[in-house]
Amino acid sequence: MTNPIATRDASLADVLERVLDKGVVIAGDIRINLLDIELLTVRIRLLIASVDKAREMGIDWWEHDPSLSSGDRDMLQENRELRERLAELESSRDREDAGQDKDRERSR
Amino acid sequence: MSVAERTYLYALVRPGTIRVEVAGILSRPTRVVAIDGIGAVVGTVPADLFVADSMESRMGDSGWVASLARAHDDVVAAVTQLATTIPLRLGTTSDDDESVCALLTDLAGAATRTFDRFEGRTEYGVQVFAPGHRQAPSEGAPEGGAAFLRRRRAELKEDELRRVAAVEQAETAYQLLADVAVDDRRISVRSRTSGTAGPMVLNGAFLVDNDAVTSFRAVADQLAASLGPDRVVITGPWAPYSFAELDL
Repeated sequence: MTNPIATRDASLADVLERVLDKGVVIAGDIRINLLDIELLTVRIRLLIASVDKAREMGIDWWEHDPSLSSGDRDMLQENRELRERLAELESSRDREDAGQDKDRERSR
Repeated sequence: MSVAERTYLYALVRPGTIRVEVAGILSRPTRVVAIDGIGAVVGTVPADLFVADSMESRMGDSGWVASLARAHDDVVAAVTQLATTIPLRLGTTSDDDESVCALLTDLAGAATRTFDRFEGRTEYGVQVFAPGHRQAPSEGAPEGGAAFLRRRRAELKEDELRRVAAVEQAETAYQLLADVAVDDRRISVRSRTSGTAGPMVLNGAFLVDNDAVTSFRAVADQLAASLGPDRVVITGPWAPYSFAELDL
């Protein structure tokens, strides 16, 4: 039996997306000091290296990550715009279809 | 531990009594530092693992980050089989085991709440892709300029309609999956494709009760069947990376 759903082994892109997603800070060193415990000493150079690698694989979430900005609002806005656009396109297609039907009737 | 070494943290676990045998970064052994029932899965790494000077020499090696990420996830995935797990970010290090104990003490409250949220649950990823490009029109009689422009305009409009419709389908899919999951997150859509399908239009992460995994997969299967080949990709099981909001 073939399963219609595509199940992949965790690809590197998927692993990086999750493992790096929590750690990516683009500006400056990641050096978080919490109660004298130094955590996260990954440096900007590591990030640059990983960013390039990640881009090669099409991961560029930090460039437009909704969770990093007012992106949720943007997404809602985009969804609304898309819905409006869909309605517009559909109604114009209906009009055209109707127009074509008339053309056909006329040519008969 | 010499000053040339640091303690690398992979994940927090409950209970802290588990025994880990998986090798971690640089194939080094891992162990659990535990206090008051919760543990940190750690390993000893060279202090200069992430330091700029040594990174410079490694920058040319694009596989370096990849191998770190794989090793990190291998450990996290292994402990997920043994205990409730809060995955930590790649590159989290602490001075020594003593500092880890202090960290665990400070975090006990927040960690317990997160463990409660994760217990008996697993993360799955579901990506939805737009349909692939239609077949190129068969070679017919040569068409005039006006006819070409008309056809081209119609095609562009169809593409736009298809994309908008795919976004709508993906939203519906997301809701259906979210209904079966206990929590859900949108991950940023990546510029990746899947097989014959078009661009990714939705990248979702779902925290699923282990009891509900079968129904979750069934919903994903139905979506895959109704949307068409290669348009739905499920990844996982994952440690709950996308839901780990315990901010260290």
